[in-house]
Amino acid sequence: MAWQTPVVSSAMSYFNYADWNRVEGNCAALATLLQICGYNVGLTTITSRSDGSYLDFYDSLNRIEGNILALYACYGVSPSGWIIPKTTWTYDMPLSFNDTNRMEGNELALYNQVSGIIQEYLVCGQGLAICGLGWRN
Amino acid sequence: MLPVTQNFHKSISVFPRTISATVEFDLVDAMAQSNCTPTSNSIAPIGGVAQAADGMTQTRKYMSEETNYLLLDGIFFTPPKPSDHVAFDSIGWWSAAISDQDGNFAVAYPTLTLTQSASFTSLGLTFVFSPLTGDYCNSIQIVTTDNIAHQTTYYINPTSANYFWSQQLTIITQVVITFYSTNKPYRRVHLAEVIFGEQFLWTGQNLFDLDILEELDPLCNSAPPKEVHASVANNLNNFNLYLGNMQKKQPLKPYLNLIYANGTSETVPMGTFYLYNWRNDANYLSSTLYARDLLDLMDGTMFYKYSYSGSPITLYALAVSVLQDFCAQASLNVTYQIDIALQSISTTGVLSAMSHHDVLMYVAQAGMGAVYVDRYNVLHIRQTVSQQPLNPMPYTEELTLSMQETYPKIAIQDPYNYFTLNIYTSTIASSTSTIYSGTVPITGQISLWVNYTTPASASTCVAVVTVGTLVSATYYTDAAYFTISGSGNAVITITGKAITSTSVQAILNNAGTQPTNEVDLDNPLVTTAAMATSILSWYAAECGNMYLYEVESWGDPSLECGDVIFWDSQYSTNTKQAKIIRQEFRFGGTLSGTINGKGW
Repeated sequence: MAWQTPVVSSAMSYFNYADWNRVEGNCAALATLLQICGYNVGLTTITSRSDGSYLDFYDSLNRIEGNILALYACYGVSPSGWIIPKTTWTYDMPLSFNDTNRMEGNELALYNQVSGIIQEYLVCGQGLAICGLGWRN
Repeated sequence: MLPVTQNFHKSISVFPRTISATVEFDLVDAMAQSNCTPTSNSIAPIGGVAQAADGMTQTRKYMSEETNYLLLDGIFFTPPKPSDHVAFDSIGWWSAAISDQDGNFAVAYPTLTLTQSASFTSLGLTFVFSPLTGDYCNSIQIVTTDNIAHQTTYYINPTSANYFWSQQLTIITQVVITFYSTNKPYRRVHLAEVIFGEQFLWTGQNLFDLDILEELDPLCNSAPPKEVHASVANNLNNFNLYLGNMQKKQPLKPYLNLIYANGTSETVPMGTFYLYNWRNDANYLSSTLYARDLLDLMDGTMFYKYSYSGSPITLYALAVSVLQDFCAQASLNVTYQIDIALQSISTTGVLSAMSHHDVLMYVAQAGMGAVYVDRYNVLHIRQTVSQQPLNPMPYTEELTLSMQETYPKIAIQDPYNYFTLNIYTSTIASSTSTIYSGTVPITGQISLWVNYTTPASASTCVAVVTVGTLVSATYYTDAAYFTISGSGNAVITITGKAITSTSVQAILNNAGTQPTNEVDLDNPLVTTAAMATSILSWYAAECGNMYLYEVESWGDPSLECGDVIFWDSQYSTNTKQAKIIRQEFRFGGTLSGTINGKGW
């Protein structure tokens, strides 16, 4: 699944099926990137919403934010802009741009972190910030 | 406490606040609604097709993936799944099919079929689509079938999400509604409710005054219904036109809306009430509607069908049988939740014929709980615990001094410290005696209930009818249901083995060296010493809450009777707690209220 640029939403933004697919597809893209680093993260992602007929309930939100948490747990190091995901969704909870921005922001933060690590992987087999070389530089 | 958002919870006590009110009044045939079974060929896995005719409308916007539907402004909520069995909202029927870019559905078009177990006659149908989001269907075919299988086809083009189709429908047994298109592209059918009649909505300048009174007795010595008075504009003279249709349990549903600074709002339902009176004001420009909740209807119907056998019956099973009997008598569907603790409390008591309301009060008190109807029209029998909230409290609630218009009135009640309760034992007489003798005028065939002069074992009852023919008889413990034919004054004599009850008194004396302040309880369902001991301890614990509060406040409609909140005063803040036992909301452009509590 190819990485797609996350979208920053506002209170006037609509969240359509393509947005759901992007958020879930980016989880899958991050999992693919992490495979390069030796992490095999098994995720369930749904990216086949095609016409708005799919219905997402609170368990979709728990799955998405749970996936983001699982991706984060590979390194366990908070990237810049990281916000702790919410995995306690249930029915009758308001969903706002703060929530979608958290999901997409976390994905972007992880993407930047993991992309950087892949660049630096040749130097120490890790991200420089993680192995300590980054600190020395 | 109602499940409101964090934003509502914060904003309701912040100055300045803007509140609006809406009163929904369904001028409907309530029986048509309970006789209706909706089905569809296209059902999304949300809400339920049965919810399209359950008498409840949607109060929340729910997220969905339809194009340009889910706005991220924070007032779309995660929807419950059907398996969550929530009672607080009714999403209604959503079709699985989605319209195309022009708003048209493809064949097979989504269809809703309303099948009636008894025919109905009405002035039309109201389609409540999705008023919260403004979605509706703008091209519909309706096929009605009457009692002689005559079909009539209509094509209508609704122009709003809350659309009244004015069409005389006479003795209709089935309605098939086919939806061709939606007002916006890429939409399901969102149909919160079909109403068998016309729905009126008053808000803004058309709603002059709205008063709502809620009360709760945690000890269930009483179970007062909630009550509402609404003064509304009647410049169209609706209430003269519909005079003949009024006072038939028409539902009236007030809502209060908190309007946020960004123009969005959050709606809080204030309950479902049933009209019991109305009057036109002298100038005929306004009308006042008076309505009470389900408990008031239950006070007007009688529970005769109790059969004493000497074997124990659980309070839960008794409550269910009472509610089922009420539903059958009133032709209403009642949603109820009974505390499962009542499944492990049994009684061998003898119940006289009495109102459904009073039986449920006895059941609730014997089960150490209260009976009440919540804001979503769900009847609850729930155990109450002294100093514990009756309902879940998502937030810690504090009635701050800034929310109060004056300092609270605080009084200390004389504490009860001596409690008595009768424990009943019943026995069936060894021989029969006359338990009823009376005369009934008959012409043709009539059916009637007859109350005995004393309870009797139903299986031993026998009736003799002279001057008439006894067609059928069904006997219960304190009443019998007869069908008699003939002409003249029928003389009915019933014999049976009478049931006599004796009682001993259980006492809980907490007076110590203090003067006694006695309260005497009596409940025919209390039949064991262990049961009496538990009830007395429960009762005494609640009576230990001696502080009575009364506050004139801004009013927070998310608070319910039974909630435990902090009551601030000139003496302390965030310290003294009390349970809300009475709330009065007054809306006349702005909201204020009186709130009473019993605390510790």
